[in-house]
Amino acid sequence: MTGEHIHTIAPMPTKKTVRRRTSVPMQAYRFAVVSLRMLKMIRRTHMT
Amino acid sequence: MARVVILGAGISGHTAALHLRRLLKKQHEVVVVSPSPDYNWIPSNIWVGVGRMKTGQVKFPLAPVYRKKKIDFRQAKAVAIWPEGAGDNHTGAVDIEYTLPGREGERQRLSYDFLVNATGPKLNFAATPGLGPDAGFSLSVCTPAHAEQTAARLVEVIKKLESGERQRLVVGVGHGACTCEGAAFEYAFNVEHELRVRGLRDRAEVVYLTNEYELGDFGVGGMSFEQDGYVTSSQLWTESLFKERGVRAILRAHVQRVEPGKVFYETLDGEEDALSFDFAMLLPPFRGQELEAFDRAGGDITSELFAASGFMKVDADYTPKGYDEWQAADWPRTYVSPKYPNVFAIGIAFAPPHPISRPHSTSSGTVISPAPPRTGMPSAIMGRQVARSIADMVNKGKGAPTHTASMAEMGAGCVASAGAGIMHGTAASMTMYPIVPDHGKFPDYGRNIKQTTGEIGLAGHWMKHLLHHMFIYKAKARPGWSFIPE
Ligand SMILES: Cc1cc2nc3c(=O)[nH]c(=O)nc-3n(C[C@H](O)[C@H](O)[C@H](O)COP(=O)(O)OP(=O)(O)OC[C@H]3O[C@@H](n4cnc5c(N)ncnc54)[C@H](O)[C@@H]3O)c2cc1C
Repeated sequence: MTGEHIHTIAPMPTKKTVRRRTSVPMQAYRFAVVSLRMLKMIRRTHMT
Repeated sequence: MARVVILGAGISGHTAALHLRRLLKKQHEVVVVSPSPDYNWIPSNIWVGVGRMKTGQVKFPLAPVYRKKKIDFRQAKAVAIWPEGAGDNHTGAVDIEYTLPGREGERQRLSYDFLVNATGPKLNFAATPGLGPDAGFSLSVCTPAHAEQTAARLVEVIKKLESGERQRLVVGVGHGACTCEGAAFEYAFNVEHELRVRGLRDRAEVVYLTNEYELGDFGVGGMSFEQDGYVTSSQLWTESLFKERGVRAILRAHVQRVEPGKVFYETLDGEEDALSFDFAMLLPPFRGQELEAFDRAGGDITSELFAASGFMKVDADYTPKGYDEWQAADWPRTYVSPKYPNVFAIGIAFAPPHPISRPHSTSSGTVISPAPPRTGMPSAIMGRQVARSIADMVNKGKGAPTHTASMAEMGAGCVASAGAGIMHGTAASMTMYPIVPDHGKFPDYGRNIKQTTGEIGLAGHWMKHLLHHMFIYKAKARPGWSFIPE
């Protein structure tokens, strides 16, 4: 197909990485981290 | 008594209306003019488009909310602005045309002391022959009705796959100058996820068709992150996801036309090709709503108020410049019209000074690069800040806007769904600071790479789901709504 991009150099995640993305305990922890990150961004942005 | 008229009850206009009502004393009037009876939390239309949500979950009637808040709601569309007033009347006014059942087509002239244009985008399907669900051959998820229709077509595709047929699903943007690549990305991966969880993925080919120069551009020129001691890019990160999930990508493409089952496109290198499809969801390019403007004598001043794209000119630097001369300071801060100090434009309705991604065009001049996105968070923040400025102008007699919301000074949090499901869903949670790169402040990458982050996982899906409920709660102006940040 014209314009098709083949992602040759992009790294594939390992099985462990893919598993961790939907592991409930791990993601509960990541949820806390991401929420904090978002809150920090919101705080910074709402200062203006 | 002052009257503030807000045109549009979407993310930016509705936010402005609620804050204005909160900040202004009762004797002042807040009027909202919007053609649809409903508020739509547009980001969740993606989930309607894959059948995970019903339209009733992403929209609700505005009239009861405005009644409760004592906001005057006119179910109508604005058609013309008279910023200097008309004839002997020196007060600014806007002509509206009712869409309310029973009053359809009835025209009225509403005077205002302050006007906020928050009319969002006109979905410009007409820019590409054959594009769109109404007069064309492709689908959309831009409105709840479009998304519902798309979900029904997806069910048909799923049935065919179940019966052993092969199907090609094309998802992307339907014109070289589109914005909203993030929404196309979300829909592509949600569709891919739905097919995978049903065990049908091997019979389906999912193709992402985009005007982006590289994957991960998202109309913001991509992002750089710090990860494990390296600076990596959203390009590598996005390509990895495409590789992992087996989604084919056609980049740097401008859709020329859509015919039944076939999309014709050209790429930046001038090549032309056609792709057959069984299902195609292609987002339209955006332009400003069709609003006219007149001076007091009735002379047409539309081109003074609006840019050629139909978006309203505000306090930005619109001087044409080359990409390398663009500056963060070109971006508007207060969203006030340079000519009329009581007229503002927020959200998608303001005219950006230039794209964020590097522009590209073919040798014959076809533009193939994303227009700058104005996503939910900045749109809502503009709504709140402009409401604060107007409140200060009314309450304290300030002569100029007192609050700012430059996209080159604010960050954004963005959660892009890559598949729904409370246990198996995933989404990419991203933060970036600032939205518009500032190469003066951050010479290396244009953004603060410590505050520009991204990760994919189930946590992102939970976050997106939570945001859906939180923002609908806020939009309904339920108790404590104003404590929920934009
Ligand atoms: C499919 C899709 C998914 C998206 N997902 C996300 C996401 O996940 N995260 C995110 O941050 N952003 C997302 N966005 C972008 C987001 O929806 C927009 O940034 C946001 O809606 C812009 O707000 P707005 O107020 O400018 O426009 P809108 O929300 O579109 O509101 C415009 C309002 O103006 C009204 N109007 C139109 N014409 C007139 C007229 N003539 N007179 C008066 N009123 C008029 C409309 O009825 C509407 O009420 C998505 C967009 C799409 C299309």
